[in-house]
Amino acid sequence: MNRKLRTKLMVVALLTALIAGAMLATGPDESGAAARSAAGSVR
Amino acid sequence: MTAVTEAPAGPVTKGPVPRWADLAAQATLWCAIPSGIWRILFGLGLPAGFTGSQDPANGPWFVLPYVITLTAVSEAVAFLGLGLVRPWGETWPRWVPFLRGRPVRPLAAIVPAALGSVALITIWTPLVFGFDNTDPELPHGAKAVILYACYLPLVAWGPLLAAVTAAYAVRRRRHG
Repeated sequence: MNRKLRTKLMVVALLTALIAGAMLATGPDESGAAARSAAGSVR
Repeated sequence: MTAVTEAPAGPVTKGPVPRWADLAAQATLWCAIPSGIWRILFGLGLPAGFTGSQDPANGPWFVLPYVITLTAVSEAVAFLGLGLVRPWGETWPRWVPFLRGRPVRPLAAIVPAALGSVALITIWTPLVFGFDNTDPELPHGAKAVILYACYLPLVAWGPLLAAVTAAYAVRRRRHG
């Protein structure tokens, strides 16, 4: 594997880690009901 | 002692490729990568902000193979754009049956590339103005920001491809 290809694969791996980390760090998905409630349907 | 310039290894383009065109063509490959990564992670079940009926866990079984295929196809299409700055975009490679070694007709490359750039600009430029996530089942807040950040590079793909296509047309016109 040449150096250029290795560098590009490393960048892709870093991007993947960054995006995955961001998705996980922002917490689990809220349910649709909870989101609708938060959107302002007040009793 | 005179300096000897070694001939470049392998085939070369008939005319010189401007450095900016080469960089722009390579940049098009990177435009589709963040969204592709996001899409595959979404297909693998990472929390992307889609809930309810939009949650892939509630979707059909083929979500993951579909997003992987879509990402692979996107990158393959982007890779074709690299041909506009490579020798294989001017002469059919040896491994192509029947056409090997023959010159690529300029319009055979220019027309699809131009149409592709128009399509990409049409599809992705509206993203510059944001996306509609009034539906509570679509990503909001930080998850929407992540989605937007991953898809925003796609806005550059169309204009970059258009510029590289123009450079290819000029080069082929001058050098054959």
